[in-house]
Amino acid sequence: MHISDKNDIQESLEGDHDAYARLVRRYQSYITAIMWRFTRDKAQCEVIVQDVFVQAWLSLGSYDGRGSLANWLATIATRTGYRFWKDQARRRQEVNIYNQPELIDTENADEIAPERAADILHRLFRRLSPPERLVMTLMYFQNYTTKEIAKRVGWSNAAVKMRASRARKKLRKIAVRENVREEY
Amino acid sequence: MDSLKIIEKLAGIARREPAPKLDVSADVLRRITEIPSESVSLLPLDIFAGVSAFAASVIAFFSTGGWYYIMDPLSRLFVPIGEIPLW
Repeated sequence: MHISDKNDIQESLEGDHDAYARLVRRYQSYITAIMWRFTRDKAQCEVIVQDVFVQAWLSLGSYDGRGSLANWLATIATRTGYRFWKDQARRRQEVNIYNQPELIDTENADEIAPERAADILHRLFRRLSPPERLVMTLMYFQNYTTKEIAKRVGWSNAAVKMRASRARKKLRKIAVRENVREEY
Repeated sequence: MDSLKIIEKLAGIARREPAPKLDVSADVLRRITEIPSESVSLLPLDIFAGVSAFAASVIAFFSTGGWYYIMDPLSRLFVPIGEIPLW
């Protein structure tokens, strides 16, 4: 662990809010990059990044310092993002637009801009259930293995593999239905 | 091309996307100062635990006598046959 992290954690635990602000400023770009995979809306992203740091503040006493602080925060971020999706899915079901079709159109995949590619994938993964969406997001956006996903979200490796397999089947069907194909 | 291959390709490109620049430190500090302190939130729990402990000790006091009635029929099994009253 970084020496300045160690000092700031200790001072934060003693109630020093300025020390915690230093930690937030040090890790907010890293956490924003993770949370940006959970929402494409900047205002929503800002709120869930705040949620991560508030949750981290509440749990700071349980951080044992064995792993890196970045890893510990990333685990909180992943779980916060997952909760955000579950709430979103519940609200969508309430207003009955969960199955509304969305047009996904791809241009030549080599020339596509990173923002556009991320947007297409985000809209595509939104059709999946929150657990499947989480596995696909971590797998494709973060390049995680199933073992790493299992460790991060606290599921078994078999459960992650099963969800990945189901999600891929669904994605194949959606991609065919929504005309996601590359023009060569 | 297989749709999953396209997704993999798109993901490779999407990973290069920069995330927006945010500064949440002031808002986080505002939110954590609004969180009520632990001593206040734990008070109802302490009272509830105290009442539960008191109720449990009252029940334990009155049920101690019943324990002997539970033991009594079992101990009869080990009494020699000659000592058991037949009527």
